[in-house]
Amino acid sequence: MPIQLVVRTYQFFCSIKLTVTLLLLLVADLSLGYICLQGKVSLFQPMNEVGLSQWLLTYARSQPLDSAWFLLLLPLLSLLGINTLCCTGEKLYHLVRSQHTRLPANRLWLTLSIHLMHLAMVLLLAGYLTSYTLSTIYPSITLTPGLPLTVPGSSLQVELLEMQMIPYSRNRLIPFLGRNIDVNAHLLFKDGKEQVHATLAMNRPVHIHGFSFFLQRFNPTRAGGMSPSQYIIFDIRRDPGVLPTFIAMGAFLTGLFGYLFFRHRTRKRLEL
Amino acid sequence: MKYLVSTILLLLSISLCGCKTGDSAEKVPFLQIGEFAINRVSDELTIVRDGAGRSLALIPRGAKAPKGFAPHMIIRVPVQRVVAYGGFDVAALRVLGVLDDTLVGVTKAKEKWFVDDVKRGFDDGRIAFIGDATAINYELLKQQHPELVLTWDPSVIPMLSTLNIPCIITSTPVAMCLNARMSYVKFLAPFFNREQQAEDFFQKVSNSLKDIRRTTEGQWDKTKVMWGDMYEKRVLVEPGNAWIGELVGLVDSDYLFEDVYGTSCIEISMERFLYSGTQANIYFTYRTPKSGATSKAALARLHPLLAKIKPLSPEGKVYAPLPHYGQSGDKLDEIFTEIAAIIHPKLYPNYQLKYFQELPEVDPKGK
Repeated sequence: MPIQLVVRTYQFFCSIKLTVTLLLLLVADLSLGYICLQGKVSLFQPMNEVGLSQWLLTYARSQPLDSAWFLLLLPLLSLLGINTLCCTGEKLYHLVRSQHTRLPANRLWLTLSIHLMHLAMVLLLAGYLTSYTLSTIYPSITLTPGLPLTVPGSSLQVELLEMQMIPYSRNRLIPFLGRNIDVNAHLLFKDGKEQVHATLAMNRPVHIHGFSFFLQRFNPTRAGGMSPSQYIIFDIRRDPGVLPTFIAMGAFLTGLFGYLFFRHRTRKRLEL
Repeated sequence: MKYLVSTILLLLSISLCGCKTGDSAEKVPFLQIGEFAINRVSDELTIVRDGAGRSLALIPRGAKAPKGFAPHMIIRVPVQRVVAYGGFDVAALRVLGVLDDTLVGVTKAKEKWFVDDVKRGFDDGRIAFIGDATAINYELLKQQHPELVLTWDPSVIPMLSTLNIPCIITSTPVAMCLNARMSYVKFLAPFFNREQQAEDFFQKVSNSLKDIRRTTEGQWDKTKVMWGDMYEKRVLVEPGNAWIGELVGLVDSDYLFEDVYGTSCIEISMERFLYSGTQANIYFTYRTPKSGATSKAALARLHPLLAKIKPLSPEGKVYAPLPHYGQSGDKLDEIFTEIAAIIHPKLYPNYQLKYFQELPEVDPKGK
């Protein structure tokens, strides 16, 4: 009986009908999400700081109407992941059994590339889930020159040595003239006797001792502005989901290039 | 398959039907107010999220410090000594009925205050001027022994942390909407155990908004409103997501920066400002009479390009906030009503302005 149940469940998840149904439901759900998100971004932003489980227990619970689409999105994506795994597993199993007898090499690599993309998508989802459930986050930490701070939960010290402002240098956007659009924040990390210099900027995080530092904002954004004080605000994250996410991105790209390359060769062969 | 679809639709229906608002009078376990949040974890621990996204722990006096929070991130409640930067924070303390007992420091000198309670605090020697917001005298600040600093300036956090003084950032990267503006006192309430006072204030402002809505509903002649100012090098306005944008919409009028999204006092291009200026009927300037907004002609002298906007012509109207406006956050109901009266003067006959001043075409003679 339990074996029968496992087999039936596996067959259920191997169904392409299930894939289509889930994709249609995802389209409907995300369309609902598009409507619900209007003017409600602040409801979802804290998820980056408190993590998924805490967010579900607090923000989502307090505003169920606006977060309902997201609550539905999670099981839909989980089902799609399981569905993809089962379908890909099934196809790979048949491929392994019949590869030498049926498929030419180009066709085989083409098929494998497609399966690699499917598996990469599942890994990508798992990576994001890991990031949002298992990360340690210290949000909005302010640092001013000359006042070092210790990274919470470690002996790592960080000091802001210098801020090199990067002003807007073109003349196309007149309101941006004279405005600092980025900063090179020169940081000194100390851990015991070890000292490391690093530069933090927008879209240029610093990774050190398992921690990642992400610049959130900085001041002054304009010379002679209302607030002249110098500071940077950054988030510190220890994120175990980064590695699987990057592996998944690499695997997806490999699969995509393989698909494009072997599809071309397969077509050429067929034309000949 | 149909079971799966039915189950998912059922779950969605249940979650949609089971919703409730978080604005009830009792202590709700979790409350989000714009960028701010209050999470009542237990009777002994409340975690608050300030405007910068930092989490701080509120614990009763004498309770054991919770794990995972640095000493400067733990606030013992009810707080007994507060330093406040902004007039709006001081007004919130007044709403909660704790100003007289708790405020010990401000960043404006006595002569710049219009709140009697603050003036009295200066006279009694209880409140100290700790320096201008951009040049704080930390020695003086420390002497006041504050248990909490309410500030909009994140640059003071590292120094306050070294002094082990908890602080919360009361400004937000995105402008406060109408609900957040009204509910801000609810965010400060757990610091002083004054939830009921905050709820009473919220209800009072909420009722005034209902009255405003009832009075102004169905107005077909859409007044066009803009709020901002042109300075020497930049143009700043209130974005459409700010409370004023919502309020103008609520009184069936058009806010001309409805499409602008972001922080309060957001910078936009001069062309955009002037374009809206050609359509506006009413213009609210940031400048007070003290900072040069004494007449339309005076404003035009300050920035000649400003003269091109319609409200500065005899067809339009310009309003400047009076000096005490920025310290009157405890009178939000009156301020909202006044703005409604300015936009729809026919619906509020004989209304006497208290917080804004309509600018004459030219300065009165002798001034």
